[in-house]
Amino acid sequence: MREQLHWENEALRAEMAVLRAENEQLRADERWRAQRQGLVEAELGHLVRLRVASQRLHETLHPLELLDILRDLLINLVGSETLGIFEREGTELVLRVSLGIDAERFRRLPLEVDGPIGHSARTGASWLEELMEAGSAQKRTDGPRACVPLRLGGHVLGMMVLFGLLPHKPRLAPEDRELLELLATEGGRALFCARGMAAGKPS
Amino acid sequence: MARKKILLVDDSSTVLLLHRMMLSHCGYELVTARDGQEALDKVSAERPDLIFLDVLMPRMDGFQTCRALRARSETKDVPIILVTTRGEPHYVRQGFESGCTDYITKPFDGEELLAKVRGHLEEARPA
Repeated sequence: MREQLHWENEALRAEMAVLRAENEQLRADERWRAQRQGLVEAELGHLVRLRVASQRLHETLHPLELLDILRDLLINLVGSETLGIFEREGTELVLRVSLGIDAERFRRLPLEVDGPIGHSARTGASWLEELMEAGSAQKRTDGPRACVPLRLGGHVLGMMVLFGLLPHKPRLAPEDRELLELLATEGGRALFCARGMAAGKPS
Repeated sequence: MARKKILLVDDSSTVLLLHRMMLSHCGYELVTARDGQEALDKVSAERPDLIFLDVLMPRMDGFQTCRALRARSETKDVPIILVTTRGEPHYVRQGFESGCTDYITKPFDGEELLAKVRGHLEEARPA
């Protein structure tokens, strides 16, 4: 009898050890699934931002409405409330839409202007402060933090300039750069179409 | 089981579309309003389980709307999440003083948004 109890006890101990191991495995699986879910939701969020931007850019064929939409995207998806959006007219950039900046100071900028705005306008290449200057947060003045040309087929049609980000957003994230790149190309295409319609002919 | 209903109040089409795309395919029913007054007009008929409320809006801002919602019997216990571009402490304090349950700062990511929604809808679920 005593021996039988001993063996039953041993069997129960062994069973408990197996259950403990299974439990530990289930916990590990749960942690992995939660981590995966976080990554998938983060990726989904990023893709949704791109999709929202793309959809909104094709909501209008009026140039000024389009620039207002661009401003709304920069505020709500990128996180800037000090910005200017310019259209290119000949050898100048003309400020069409702005927020939180001295509009008079930036009303018309020659393409030859020194600094990142002029450089981006001439070359068609985006300029993002964080990419160009290490430790730039300490060196910052009131200059731009990002200059992103609205471009189509190598032509610069306009320019989005971010002069600052929201206080709780210290820097542009890699996802923001991807979004800005989409705004540059899709925005350029949309602006070209809208201008064509405004001029009375399809582009 | 009935789908949970979320009222989105924002004057930005971008934010409404972003919420819609993130939340609708997670099984939530969505209702939108473009400002605080429209939100107040809709809550009696729609009876939302959760409200996202922008702070800066025409006609009636988010703080005023939040206070008005808390004064109504049908929304006094509904979780209200303020959506704001301002994360500074005094703005956050003002939000809580107006009766909000939580806040989220723009631009928000999808993971954060879904976590807030799940958290507050779970908390609000009757025992």
